[in-house]
Formats: sequence, structure tokens, C-alpha cells
Amino acid sequence: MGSTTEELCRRCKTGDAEAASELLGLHYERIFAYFRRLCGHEADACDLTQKTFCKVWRSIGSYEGRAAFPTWLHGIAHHVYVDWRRVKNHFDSQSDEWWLTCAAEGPSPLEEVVGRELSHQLYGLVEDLEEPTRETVHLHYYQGLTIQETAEALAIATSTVKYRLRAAVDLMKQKLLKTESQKL
Amino acid sequence: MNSDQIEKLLRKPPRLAIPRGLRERLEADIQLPTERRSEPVRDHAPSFLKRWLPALSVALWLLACVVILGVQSHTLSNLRQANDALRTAVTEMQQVAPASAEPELTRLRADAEEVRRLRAEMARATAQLDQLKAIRAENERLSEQLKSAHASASLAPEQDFFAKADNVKCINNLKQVGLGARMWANDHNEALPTSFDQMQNELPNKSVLFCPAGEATVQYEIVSPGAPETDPQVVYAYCRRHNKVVLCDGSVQSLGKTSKLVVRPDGKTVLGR
Repeated sequence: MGSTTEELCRRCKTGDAEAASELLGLHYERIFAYFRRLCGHEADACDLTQKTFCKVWRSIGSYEGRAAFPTWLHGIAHHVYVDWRRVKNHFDSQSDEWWLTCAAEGPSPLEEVVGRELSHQLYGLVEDLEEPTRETVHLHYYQGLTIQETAEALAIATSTVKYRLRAAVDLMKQKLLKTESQKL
Repeated sequence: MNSDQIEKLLRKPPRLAIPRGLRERLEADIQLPTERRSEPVRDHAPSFLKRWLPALSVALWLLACVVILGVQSHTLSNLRQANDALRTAVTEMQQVAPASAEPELTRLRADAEEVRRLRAEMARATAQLDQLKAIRAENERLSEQLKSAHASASLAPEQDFFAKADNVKCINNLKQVGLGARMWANDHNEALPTSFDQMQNELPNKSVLFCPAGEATVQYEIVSPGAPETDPQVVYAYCRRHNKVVLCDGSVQSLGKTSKLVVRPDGKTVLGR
């Protein structure tokens, strides 16, 4: 997979459009999902995805392979999102209905009901996090980047990524426990 | 719920439906750079020399240090070897020298003492030579004096006596000649006679006209014939043997080593120096 991506990148540098199409097919869904979860609007996510890949094609010549291509790609996506946030100057959290429509896989019907409710609460708590922490959680957990790749994409230290993730999990854990105690 | 469960749930985010036509739109936006545009990017890569220049400079510096250290250590080892060789040679010479040098030194000292003694001897000889030269000069001077003394005193006492008698007799004869000539001048206008024949009557005998020394055959000479009686400086007669003269005033004088007869412009003979 990695060697395939690197080969496609090398071909893209030579102006190979087919390689660019293949590279796009491998990664555009993850980038769209990243923007969709962060923005809250499908149209904005589509626009940001387009901007991201336009920047990718312009900058593909400067990609030297020092970082993995997904890391480099998410770094560009992060900057595009930051610019969009700076222009829009607003934050739209996902609606509860949207999170409910998103299926969470569960084994049994009972566990499925409990898991859906828990997932719904958990995703809502993620959206309530502060912006740097929320973006870190998105990249590491939702997008599946490692801590090192997340740090490179955000241009921060790995220790900062670990601190943010630990703080986010602890905060969500406390809030979930508080909610359960209130129900009881 | 613990942290692991939370993380597990977070790693399974909800699936999203991809809008239709998104991929086509994205593919339509693909605008890849040409190869020519990618060339400058490659040019920005640092060259081999620029990338390794610091390391190369450090390596060269270290190499130069190593070379300098090597040269210095080599030179130092050579100097140490030379130093050891010299020390060994000096030690050997110190071991050999005392045995062979002592007789030589003694001989040299004796030679030096001999030279000093000879120099002193030569100085003494030079002084003696100077004294000898002075003595020889004095001897020569005394010899001269002795010769002169012998010349004056070479005659025997008898001969000396007769010589003195002849001398006195010669003086007496010259006085007789002068007196006769003055007596003759009184009669002839105060002019002395030009020859002894003219004044024969004024002389006691003819023997007074001859010097008594020897065989009494040498006659006195008239050096100023006809000289005036009134000029006392003019010499009238002369004894060649006794070197005596009689002047016109009748006096007799002995010519010394410094006196001699001088002829004046008027033809008269006088005493001069």
C-alpha cells in the first residue's frame, strides 16, 4: 500500500493523470469524512475536499517523501480547515440527528441500543471539546493516524498530541460517569 | 465505562455517505505540474558538496592535525635518537680521555714551562747583547783614544826629547830670521827682503835659515816677499816640518789643526781658518 502510494506520487510528479486519479480514489473519502465530521455541512466538506486536493496537485512536486503521504495530505487538510475556520469564524457542531443516522455497529440488539446511545453521547462530547483537542481526536481516532503522524499533520510535538488525547478521554470519561449517575 | 472502551468507540466512527459526483469533480480539478516545473524543485536540493562541506572541513582539519602530529612525533624521535647517540659518544670519550690525556697533558705542561724558560733566557740574552754592543762601542771609542794617545806618545823618550829640542831650535831660528828681516827693512823703506840672500849680513850664520829637524837641509820658505814691516798679520816665513810661521812683526806662531795659510788678494799670505 505504502509503496503503491509512493509510486503513484512519483508518477504524479511526472504529470501522470492516471496516477493522480488512482491516488485520489485512495484518499478522497477519508479527507471528505474528516471535513464532514469537522464542518457539519456536506457542501462545505465537499468544497474543502476540493481545495485540499487542488493544493495537493499544486504541491505534489515539493513532496519528498519525508513523511507518509496520508500524513502530508492530512497536514494540507488541516491548514485548509484552519483557513476556512478563520474566514467563517463559526463552529457548527453536528446535530444529534446526524449522529443518530450514523450507524454504529453492535453485536446484539440490546447492546446495539446501549452502544448507540453511548456512541451518541460520546460523539457529542467530542464536538464539545476545545478546537485543538477536537481536531487532534478527529485525526487520531476518526482518521486513524498514529500519534507521530498526527503530530506531523498538526505540526506539533508528539507529547502534545498524547497530552491532548489523554485530557480528552479523561474529560469524556468524567462527563459520561456524571451523566450515568444523574440517570440513576 | 473506562478509557479503553471510550478509545475503542472513538476508533469506530460513524460511516459517512459520499456525495455523488464528488469524485468526478475532484478528478476534473486535477492539474498536475509539468516535468519542467518540477526541475527547479530538484535544483533546490542541496548539492553534495554543500551538504557535506561542514563534515569535509572538519575531516580535513582533523587530518591536518594528525599529519602535523605525525611529523612532530617523527622529528622528535629523530632528535631523541641523535641525543642518545651524542650522549653515548660523550660517555665513551670521558671514559677514554683520562688514560691517554694525562701523559700528553704533562708533556704539554713541560713544553709550556720550557717555552717560558727559553723566553726568559732569550730576554736575558737580548739584554746581554745590548750590553755587549754598548761595551763594544765603548771599547771602540777607547781604542780610538788609545790609538791617538799612542800616536802622540808613540815616540820614545829620547826621541821625544830631541823632537822638543828641534822644535825649540826651529822657533829660535824663525825668530832670528824675523829679526834679521826687520833689521834689513829698517834700511830698505820698511819692506822685508824678498830672499834670504838679501839679508845675509843681518843674520848670525846661514844655519838659522834651515829647520834643525832631521838632516837640517830643509830651508824655511818666504811666503810674503817684500811684505811691509808694519802689517803684523802678514806671514813672512813658514816651516813646513814644524808647521810654524814667523809674522812680519817678528813673532813666531804654531799653526793648529784649525789654522791654515790664506793668500790675500794683494798676494800677501795671512793666517786663516
